[in-house]
Amino acid sequence: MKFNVGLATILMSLTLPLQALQLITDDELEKVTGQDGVSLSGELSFNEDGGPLVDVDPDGIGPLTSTWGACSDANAKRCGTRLAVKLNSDAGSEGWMALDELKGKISFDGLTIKSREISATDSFGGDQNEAGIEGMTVLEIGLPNKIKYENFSYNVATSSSARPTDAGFTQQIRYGVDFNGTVNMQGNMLIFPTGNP
Amino acid sequence: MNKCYLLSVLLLSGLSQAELVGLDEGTLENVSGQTGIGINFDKIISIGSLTYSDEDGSSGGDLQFNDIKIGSPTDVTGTMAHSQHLINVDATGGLFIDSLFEPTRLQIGGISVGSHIGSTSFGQYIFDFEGTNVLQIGGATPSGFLINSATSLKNVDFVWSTNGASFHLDNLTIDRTLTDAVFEEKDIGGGQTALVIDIPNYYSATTIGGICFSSADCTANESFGSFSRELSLINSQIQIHGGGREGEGLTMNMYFEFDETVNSVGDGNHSSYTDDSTLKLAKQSGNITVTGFTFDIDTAEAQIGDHIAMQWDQVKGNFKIGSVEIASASMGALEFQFDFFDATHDSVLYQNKVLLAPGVTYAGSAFNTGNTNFDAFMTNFYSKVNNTSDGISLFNEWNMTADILYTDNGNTVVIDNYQNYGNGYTTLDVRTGDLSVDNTNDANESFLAIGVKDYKVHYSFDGLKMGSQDAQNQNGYELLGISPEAEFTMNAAVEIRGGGNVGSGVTFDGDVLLSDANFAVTKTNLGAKNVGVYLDDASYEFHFRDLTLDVESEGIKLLLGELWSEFTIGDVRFGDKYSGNSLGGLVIKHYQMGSEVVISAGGAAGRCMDGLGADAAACDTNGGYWLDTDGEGLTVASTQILLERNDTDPNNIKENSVTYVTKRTGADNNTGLQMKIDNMYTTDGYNGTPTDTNTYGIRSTMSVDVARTRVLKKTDGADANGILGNKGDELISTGPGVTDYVYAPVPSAAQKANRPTALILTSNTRIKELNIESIQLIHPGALATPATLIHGVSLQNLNLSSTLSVTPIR
Repeated sequence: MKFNVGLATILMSLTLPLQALQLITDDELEKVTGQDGVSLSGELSFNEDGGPLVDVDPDGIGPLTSTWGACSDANAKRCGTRLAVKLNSDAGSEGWMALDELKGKISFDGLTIKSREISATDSFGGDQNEAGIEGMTVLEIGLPNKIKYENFSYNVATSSSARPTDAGFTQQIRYGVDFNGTVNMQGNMLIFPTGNP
Repeated sequence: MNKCYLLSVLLLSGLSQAELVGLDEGTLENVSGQTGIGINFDKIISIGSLTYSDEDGSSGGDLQFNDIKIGSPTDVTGTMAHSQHLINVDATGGLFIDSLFEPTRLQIGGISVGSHIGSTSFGQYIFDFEGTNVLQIGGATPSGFLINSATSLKNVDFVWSTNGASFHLDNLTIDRTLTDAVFEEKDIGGGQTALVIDIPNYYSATTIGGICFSSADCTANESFGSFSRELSLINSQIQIHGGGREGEGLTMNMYFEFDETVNSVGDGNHSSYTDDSTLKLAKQSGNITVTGFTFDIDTAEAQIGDHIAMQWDQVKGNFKIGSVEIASASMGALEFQFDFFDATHDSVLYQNKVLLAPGVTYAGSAFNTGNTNFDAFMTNFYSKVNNTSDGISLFNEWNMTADILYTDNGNTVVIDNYQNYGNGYTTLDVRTGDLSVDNTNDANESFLAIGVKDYKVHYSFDGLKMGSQDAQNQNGYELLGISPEAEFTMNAAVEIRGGGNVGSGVTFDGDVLLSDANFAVTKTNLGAKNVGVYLDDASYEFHFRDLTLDVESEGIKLLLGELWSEFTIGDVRFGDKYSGNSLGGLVIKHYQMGSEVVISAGGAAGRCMDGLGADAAACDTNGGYWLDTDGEGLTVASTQILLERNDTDPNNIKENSVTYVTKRTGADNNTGLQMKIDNMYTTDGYNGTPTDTNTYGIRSTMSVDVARTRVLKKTDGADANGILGNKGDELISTGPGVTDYVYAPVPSAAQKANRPTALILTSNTRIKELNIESIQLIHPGALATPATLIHGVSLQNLNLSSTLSVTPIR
């Protein structure tokens, strides 16, 4: 069985406003109790001033350099989140892929989540039939109008070991991203099961 | 609760009158009759048995109290208990009985019912007390008796014993004042007369010095802690008439109303539990109407046999706690608007009743829940007692609905249309420490053993409403990890001990299985039906050892000891809860040691969102909006220490893993393709000697507040409720209803004060290091060994903070 993530984003976002412009009758308003779902606004912040790993001061007078520390500590080499993945076994080639030094803030407005039954009158520009989702219930994630990034950054690297504190640790940064600005978004993401469970 | 207080007053009144019989020479010498009669009464009383029967030939049975003794607590059969009574008759006030009781013990050797008499009992009971009672009985206008009573007892002890072990309520004080109550036989309609007791004012205060599992005085290290309770009632009434639900018996209707005026000073009507710090439910108010409460002796229930039957036609009312305080800080107000009544679900009638039988019904039984691993725990638990062991076996059935309102700094969130129904069996008995299922426990420390058998539970709620009960329903409970709809069958064996992590508190060991389960993750109401994401055909088995609960200065603290669990989900369904399309199955295993949870009052600090500023004005000037979450609220902080796999017992492997199963034949997980995230564990992030330390774990803090927030319109035109506006306009509330709002392009300061109410979730998660040994692809039957997809994952130094405003979709 496959776990399909259906994207009917921009097309759907174009049709929803048009439908919403239609007047709602009193009878229809009485049925509005079934809105449910949830709308979320807020922010996520990664390692605003570092994480919980802080190297122990080796001589008690303050470290000259350290691997882990606060982002405000100029002597600390790193303060972001690190996710390392080992793709090969020890018997083969050693090495880890790492998403490293992840930090920064993301804020958003109007992310919605609800369960929704896809009916014959819903239009997805033909994707509906292709995906075979008519009559199915999907988890609909309505993308937020905007996502704002503030000093959001990370590196993608290859490393000799998972922990940067390991003896002989070496790492090669393949590329880095530093992101400030706003992304405008429209549409929905639909998540639903298909295939043989 | 309330009826018990009143009954105790009536009982005391009855005792005083009963003691007018049989004056001996000693007491006669003490009669000084200038203004009445003075009686000194020294007594040792022994009663072989006392039987209440509602047997009428076609229904009913016997309730027998055996081996009743009254005497001095120092030697109930050898030393007399002394009491003194001054009796006077006033021309206008009526009969006065002023009583002084020196230390007295009432002891009951056993209480049993029907065919259980002579074999098992509810246990042995001791009630020690001393104090005073003033009773005034006069004529009421226009008819009936006018009764005033004041009772003050101290050094009260209550001991319940079974199987050689005791549960002890130690050093109680009990004060009761009944003012101008009228007792009268009245017509209550329907051709029925009843004893009607009108209670204009009633006050009660109770303190409990300690609760422990010992017949001796409780010490701090073995006590749950201390309790206190104060309650004032007004305008209340009790109706009592003969005839039970079947034949003879007793029927009562009751109305109780809290006196809210006492809440204006101090804690008012309150209940509190004090450990190192205090958990308090202060400023209680509301009213409760009980209709058709019946008391019968009944026979031959399928599991527990002959029994006491108590049933309620309806219990309806509202109960509000003005301030829930944890360690002197308030989390806000809670209100329950509830209605217990009979109802039919899936062609089964659910009533509100409790059936009580003596003994431990499942003693010595072998269990067969279908989960052989879990059955071994239950069978072992019940092997510690036998069919002559004393205890309480009960069958409980209920059906109820409620709205639950939580108010934080004047802002309310409603759990809407909560419904709960079910039934099942429970056994309660006190055991000596050597009978514990965990042989690491102190063999000298007795405990309360609670067994739960086939408890079928169904619950649901429609959603959350922000601001008022008239507001629009919304989700958001998912973010709190709360299922909006669930059904399961519970079997459990739990041991409860006195004493917490430090000093007083409570300690738990237990094994719990939720089977035949279905949990909603999220749902949407489509009128005639709900659709959503459901965990179907689920089974959740969890075990805990040495879990302690304390109330400390930082809040309610749970040290979780050793935890291991397995959550098996047959199908993750989208759509209908039983027949929706399935994503496949999941098996989630947890194994933790040394984890903890701290629940404290008070939410997150106020802060500026989408801008900068140290206060609301500065934030607004900067273009942001201020979340005013200061003050009340609720914060849950947790530490989860995940351990590496423990496979020392091949029949009980403990690990942290997640397995996703799909492409199965039927529902057999062993026939499908599995992807397993295997052997997850935390460490402290540095190389240790000889092994890495693991003390930090996953540390999370979640604050829950209800506050006003900014909501921007997502699209141009009318929204789902027909309210017009343009994309980016700000939603401003104009009232409590679903459509009581407008969209403002540039809101004024006055409009900003009426921003909509939202659930505000503020969280922080910190991880030093979380490891995954491997991610495997497993093909049962096709490949002998799993194919490893990922050979290791390491997440280090995560510090993730989030703030979410949760509002309805409009």
